[in-house]
Amino acid sequence: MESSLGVYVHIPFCARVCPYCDFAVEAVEAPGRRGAASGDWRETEDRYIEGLLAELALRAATFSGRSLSSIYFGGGTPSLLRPESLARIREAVMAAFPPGPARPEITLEVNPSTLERERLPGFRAEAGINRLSVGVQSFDDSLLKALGRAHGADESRRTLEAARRAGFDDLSVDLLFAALHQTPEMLEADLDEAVAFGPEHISSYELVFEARTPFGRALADGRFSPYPEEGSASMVERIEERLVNAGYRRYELTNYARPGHEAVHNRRYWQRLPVLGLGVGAHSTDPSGPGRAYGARHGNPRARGAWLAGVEAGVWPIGEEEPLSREDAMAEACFLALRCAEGLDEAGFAEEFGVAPREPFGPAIDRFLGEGLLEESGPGRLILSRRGRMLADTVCAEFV
Amino acid sequence: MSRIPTERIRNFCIVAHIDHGKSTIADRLLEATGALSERDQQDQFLDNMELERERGITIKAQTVRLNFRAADGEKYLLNLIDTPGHVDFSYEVSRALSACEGALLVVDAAQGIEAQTLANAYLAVDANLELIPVVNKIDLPSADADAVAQEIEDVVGLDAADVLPVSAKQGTGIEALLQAVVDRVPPPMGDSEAPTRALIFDSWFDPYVGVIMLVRVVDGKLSRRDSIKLMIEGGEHAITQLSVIDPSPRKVEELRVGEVGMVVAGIKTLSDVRIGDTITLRDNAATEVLEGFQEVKSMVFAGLYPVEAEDYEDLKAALEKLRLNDASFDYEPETSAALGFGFRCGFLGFLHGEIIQERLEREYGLNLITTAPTVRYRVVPKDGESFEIESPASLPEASDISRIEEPVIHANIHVPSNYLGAVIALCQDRRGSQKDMQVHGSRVQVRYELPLGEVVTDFHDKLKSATRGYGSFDYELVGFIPADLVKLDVLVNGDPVDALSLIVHKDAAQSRGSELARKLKEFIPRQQFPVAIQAAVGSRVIARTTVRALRKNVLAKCYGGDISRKRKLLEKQKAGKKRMKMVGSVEIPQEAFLAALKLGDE
Repeated sequence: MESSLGVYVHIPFCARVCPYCDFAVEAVEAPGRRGAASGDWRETEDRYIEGLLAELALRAATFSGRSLSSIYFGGGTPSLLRPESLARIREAVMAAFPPGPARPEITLEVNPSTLERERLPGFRAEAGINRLSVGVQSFDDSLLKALGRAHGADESRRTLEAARRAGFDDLSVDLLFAALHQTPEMLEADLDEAVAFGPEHISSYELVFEARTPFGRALADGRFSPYPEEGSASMVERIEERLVNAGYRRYELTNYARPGHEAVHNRRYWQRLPVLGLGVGAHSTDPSGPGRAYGARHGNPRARGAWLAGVEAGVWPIGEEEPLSREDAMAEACFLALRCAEGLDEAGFAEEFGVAPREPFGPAIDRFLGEGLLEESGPGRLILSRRGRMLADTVCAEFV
Repeated sequence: MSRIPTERIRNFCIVAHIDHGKSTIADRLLEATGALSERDQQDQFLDNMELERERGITIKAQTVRLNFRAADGEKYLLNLIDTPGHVDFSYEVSRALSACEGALLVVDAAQGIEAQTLANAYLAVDANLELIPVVNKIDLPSADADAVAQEIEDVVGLDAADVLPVSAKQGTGIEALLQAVVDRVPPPMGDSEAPTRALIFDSWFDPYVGVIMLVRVVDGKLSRRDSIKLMIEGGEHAITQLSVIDPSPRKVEELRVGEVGMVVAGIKTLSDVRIGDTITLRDNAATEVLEGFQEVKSMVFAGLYPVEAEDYEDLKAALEKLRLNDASFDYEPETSAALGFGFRCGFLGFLHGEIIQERLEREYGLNLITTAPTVRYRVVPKDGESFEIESPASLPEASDISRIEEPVIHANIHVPSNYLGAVIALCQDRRGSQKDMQVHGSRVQVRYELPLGEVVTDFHDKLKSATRGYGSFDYELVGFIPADLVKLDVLVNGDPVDALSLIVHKDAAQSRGSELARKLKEFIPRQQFPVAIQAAVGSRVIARTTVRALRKNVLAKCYGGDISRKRKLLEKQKAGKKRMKMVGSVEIPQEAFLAALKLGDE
């Protein structure tokens, strides 16, 4: 019986909010260059940490008996927090859910900046962070500027080097593509530099114009136009080709890793394993329970005030709640699996749901096999073909 | 209840252009005579179907009796007969009118006379009705009651001094209106001793009692135990129920000369009863039918197909049910290579067609594809007898045809003079030829002869937008004339899409073909492979365009909160696909089949 747990901790603070970001974030008066925090920020940070601890206590029962396999500090900019703050969370989580024999993966998202570089040793030694996800986005200064990023390429380089020096041997780099004025040459340069540095993991995201963001509004107003499809399609192909040649495996549509360095925490989402989300706007995947054979998904309130008011009063502030039906679960089992290199294991599916995937989805499977969008990678295992990976949503839409 | 003598019966109706306030006036009349307390008043009593309320038009006639104590101290019985309110139902209107002796001609004090005001006024004059002109909405700031009264005198020929000013909204002038009905509308003139004759001016299907006929007794009387005969249809039936509506149905023992009421006679099928037929008694039957009966013939045709083949039986059942309530449309099975099994439906006019489609979708929850409406063409082949076709698919090869004739209408268009240029341009574009033009103050009435086929798709919408809603029109069919017509076909990746074929004038084929191909390109989503769209006349391709292949369809990251969102997006994508039809290997959305309706927008 599977009994592991991942914990996601959302830190909604940023020194500056990126104009394309759709997460629950807010700009705060960041700590100064020397890490000397103003009194207000210190208070905000401490109060938020207390809130997270309170929420953990409120929610622990739902996940009791599970052993911790990962913690992910995401944001926002979680690296704005002091190492000792992160340590408090980590210790409380480990006390609530003692890990099994395997060392849990503890990831921290960091922004390339001076402050964070100075704190890297502390994050490792004090906070117990063993994996960093660095928001590089690009090594092109003009693009970073156009994206509204606060850092330049040099800061990214220094941060990556500092991370290695601090002893981090599990690094992930985020890269954006099909972004604004980015050309194929600019992408090529980004790939060259990323490969030359050699992180263990690379996430590759297309710039998305989310409606509620300044970029989204600019798109709606016609001040921006979407990246030409032909161009972004070629970039997807080029990224895969370049990174696979460099020894990475595209183990999920937007993620590449050297073998053995796949993200333990993020994989949980695609494998539909329980995740406890803590903090503003964090999402949880609750395990199955009485009356909820397929678990439930929760989204915390996105407003800090609402979330704090709840947890400080000792009441878990349910934002969104979605119990998953059998159909939802079957759909997610298919489309999430197909996003991954392992693909859809038909026997595993049949074991969970009591029907083979070919029962509800037979005609679609046959059609896509015929059209070459799906392939059989082994007996009873379906994966997206090369073309299928380009048209993943076309394929996945037939499994919902 | 004491019997009111025939001399104190008045049968009247209200005729007006759409939105000039017919239904609101009817409500006030009901209220003023206590037929309806304000408390149980729905907004507009006479328009009882949801759809009618939404569109502001009345489809099935209703009637209600009002008790009014007039200035002479006597009680009068006023039968208010409602009439269908739009151009496609002119025959039904004419039958309702002939059940009356008088009509209120209602004109909006701000809008003045419109096309249907005039069309209805002429129908009323044809039916020998006493017309009482009424200017409504005098409360509006933009109202100019005097000018409109003068317009009524100039255009319709009714004395401006006789015009009654009314604000149905505020309830002013309503008593005077009722008194005018008593004073000016003559009482019914029938012979109570003659063999019974009653005019059927409306009918509908009731699930409990079967067909209900709304009748006006012209001569003699109908009693509850009579056996009746339908003089034209020929059926014989026994009356089981007679009732009047005041305003809820109330059973009565008999309907006497001049009275209006509902007759139930155990008739199961609406098509067994024809509007305009004469009811007489089986024994002591009348010999002459009442004047004015016409065979109603569909003028506009369209294919209706279920988006999903398995809904065919549901569509069939819905059409059967709908026809129980509306015998004015007909349908027969049709098979399309592109769309599968469906029905060819005939309607009285294009508005009627739209209403039927909407009712099928709304009341029966069907998801339909409708092909472009077409008219009935007369084909004269090189060999053999001429015949009529109701679908472009049935047009023979051009080489076998000697000539094609198309139906032509006379359109009466009313428009403020500053929009005249736009209207003329529209009519020219639709191959119209001007027959007449008259200026009444700031308004112009133009008459055009137009091919009906050029009017059935979007002429009305185009007229409305070209005149910012101020233009109105009405039409009558005048006959068939030869025209240089060709069939325009559409091919998608080489497969003909029969449901998209159109019959167009030869001179317009090139531009319509290019435009149709271009429109289809907008509607057909990109697929895994390129899709070629061609327009052709015979074997000659006259326009082509290509929908590029979809290279990439994959959305970014998918973590915690993204998963539900992603699932819902995929569900939406799938739902969108369900509304598409596979033609060959190409998915064509429902909307694409409407592209043909949108031609001429550029």
